[in-house]
Amino acid sequence: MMKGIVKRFPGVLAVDHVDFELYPKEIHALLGENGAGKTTLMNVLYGVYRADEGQILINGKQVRIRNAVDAQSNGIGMVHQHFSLIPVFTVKENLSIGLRDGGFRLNLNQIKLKIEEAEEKYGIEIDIDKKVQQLSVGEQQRVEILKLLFRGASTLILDEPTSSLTPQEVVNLFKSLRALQSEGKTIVIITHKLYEALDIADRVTVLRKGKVVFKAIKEGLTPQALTEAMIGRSVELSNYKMEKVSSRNSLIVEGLSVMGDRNEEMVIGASLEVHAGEILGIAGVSGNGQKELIESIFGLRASKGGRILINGHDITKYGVKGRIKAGLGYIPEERKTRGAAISLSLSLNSVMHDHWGQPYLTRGAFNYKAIRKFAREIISSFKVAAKDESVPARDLSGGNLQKFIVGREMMRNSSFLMSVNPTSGLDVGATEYVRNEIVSYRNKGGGVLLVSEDLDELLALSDRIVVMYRGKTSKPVERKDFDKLKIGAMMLGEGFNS
Amino acid sequence: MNIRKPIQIIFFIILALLISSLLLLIDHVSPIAGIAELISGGFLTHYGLVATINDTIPLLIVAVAIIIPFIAKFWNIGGQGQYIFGSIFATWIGLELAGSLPGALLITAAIIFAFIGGALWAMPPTLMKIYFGTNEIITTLMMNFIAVYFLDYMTIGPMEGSIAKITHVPSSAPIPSPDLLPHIGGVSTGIFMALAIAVIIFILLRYTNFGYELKLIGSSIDAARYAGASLRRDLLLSMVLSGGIAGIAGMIQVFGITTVLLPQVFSDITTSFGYVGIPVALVASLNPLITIISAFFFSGVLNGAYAMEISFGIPIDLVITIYGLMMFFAVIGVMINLGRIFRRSGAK
Repeated sequence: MMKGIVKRFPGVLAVDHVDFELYPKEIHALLGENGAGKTTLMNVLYGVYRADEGQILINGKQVRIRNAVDAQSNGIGMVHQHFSLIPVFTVKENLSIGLRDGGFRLNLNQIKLKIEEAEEKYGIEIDIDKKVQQLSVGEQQRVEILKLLFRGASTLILDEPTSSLTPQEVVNLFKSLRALQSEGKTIVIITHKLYEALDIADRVTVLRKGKVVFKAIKEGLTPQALTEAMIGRSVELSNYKMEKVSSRNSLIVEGLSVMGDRNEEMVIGASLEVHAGEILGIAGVSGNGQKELIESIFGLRASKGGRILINGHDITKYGVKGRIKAGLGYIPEERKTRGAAISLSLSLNSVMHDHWGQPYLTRGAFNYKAIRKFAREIISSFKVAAKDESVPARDLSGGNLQKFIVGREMMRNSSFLMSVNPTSGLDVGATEYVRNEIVSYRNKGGGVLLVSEDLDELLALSDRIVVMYRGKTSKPVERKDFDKLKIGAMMLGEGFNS
Repeated sequence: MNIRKPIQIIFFIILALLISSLLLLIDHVSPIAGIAELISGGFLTHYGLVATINDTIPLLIVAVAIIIPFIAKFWNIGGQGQYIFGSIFATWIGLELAGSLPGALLITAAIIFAFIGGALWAMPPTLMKIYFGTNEIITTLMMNFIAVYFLDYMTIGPMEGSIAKITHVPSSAPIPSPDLLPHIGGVSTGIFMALAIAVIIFILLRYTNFGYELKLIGSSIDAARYAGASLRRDLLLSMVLSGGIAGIAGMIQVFGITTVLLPQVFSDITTSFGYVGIPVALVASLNPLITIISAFFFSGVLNGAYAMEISFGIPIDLVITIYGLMMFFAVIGVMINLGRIFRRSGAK
């Protein structure tokens, strides 16, 4: 149990006098929007941060948790959103890290036995001789969980465990979690997906702006009640006003072939056409060439063959800058490493795609007044929670940073916008906000190429959907013919001859 | 730059002074008298102040030169070699053209040649980085060693001066006095060039697209590419400028202070400005204007240390140890966050 926890960051009160109780053998969902303080609160419990106020009690006894080792010795383990496995080590080697018994020499055989025992007990299956880099995200997560169990954790904290899992993997994860629960483990899952919370949790605590706003046991919970608790108001889900826009402008990709990082052809003769005033969705299981396709269209990755045209203008030979100037915008999935330079201020981040000309560069010199003004406009029009435009981008929570990036790309003069998983990791409120902005960009006559792993998102937003499978593109499916099952089957290869 | 760093730097410099006091006690010198001498000998006496300003000149220029690629997290450790090559090129053209050009033109030619020499010496590591991805820390450092010994060779070989033949101290022929940089009250007018360079680079980094792209690269290479920055061009240009400006420092040192090419000056640690410039730039948080202060401060500490040596007969090695301590602690003051450490231990 945590009592009166307060954690401040420069300019923000991240966790504000929170009381949080955890009972043995329960699955507890910690729900809230981005930046609500969920992860921060759990990081206090796990010793990553130290609370400015408040105390932590275990079985009524006050304990002091200064670091992860303290947490582990109290039986608390945490799987962060970004895993801490060593990619070039095998599963077995990764699991043996930090095990104290056995002295200097690693007894890998003994570890193997222990792993097999654990696998059987908790129903977790994994090939322990594989290197971690060869595993899927879901498998890596299982390794992380095993690692905690190995270190004797009785309470497991999982931070957004489903954010990068396929639906099937989510089902498996939840199965494992229930098995762990029946073995006597206590589990906290941090999430902003309310249906998941409803699905798995015995109890739910909702945080908003650093405060506990709602606590309840599973019985008698409704999605509406949870949504309201999370964002303080009810939202309409997937009801978008798609206006008819007529324009001849288009972004055309013809027979594009692109090599991937491992020197294999990841995009094979892909073709598609995005009209002005439409959203073209790209559906597909992650890893079927979507990433390479988008990077190649933006000029970040060389193409091996094919052409890219904007409004009839061939941009295939252009660099990134030339393509941006030709009217292309891009909201990358990698917010913190690509979409923003996180050590720089929001002002400097606001001109990432406009730093070569008027009004921000006048006669060769940066016009900081104009730049700051633009950054402030983004912050206010897109409701970015930031102290001001001078704070470094890294001070923003994931959702706020995404709003800032979306705002920047939308407020620029672009005619086509590419967006990859724009709402991944965002809470309900921010998701709705971003989706509405994408639709309004379309309604204003912009063309959007939307890549998403969330099929519901694509069905809700797209005018047409193209499916990518093993580097190839399908014929577009019109909105009137949208059928979740059919598109789902195409994502698994139906209609593609290989 | 927030207020935290200056306070921490001062705190750590005081710490360095406390440790220095212990060293002085071991050497039977009163710490209070010693430190008083350090301050007055470096900053307060006329002789000390002149020497401090003259030392500030190359230190400031080289530190500012290093800042440019450092902003992009391209670690140019080769300032020393670039500085040396600038001085070789400048001296060579200076001796070659002596008497055939008026002083001002010859000085201009020497500056240009110094820039070219330094920039050329910076190119192999840069090009290897761009085309083969080699680690620039290693390659720039290696280039320094080659430069040091190449300079030795030049001054006992092709550029050996007539005096050197008699004294057996390697050096070139002297630059004729009409071609030297003028002095005002003992201070080399190179100081104006140094200050101008600091201001120009400050403006370049803050107000140009090039400076912006360097910051993007330093923050995230992927973000820089996404923002349409030309990584290769930026890297190349940053190193041409960095090497060239370090080279100019070499020219100003020869034409303003030493008047001959003197390898001794380039191999002694305290005057190896290409190395010393790194902590000086870091203490200034890679801000060229703040570097003016840090370069002046550390030059003063060095000259104050020399004054201690003379006044109290302290061995030179000890006073330079004290100089090194000051620099080391000042860098620590920039790199860590004391507040966080105090809060953490306070919570125990």
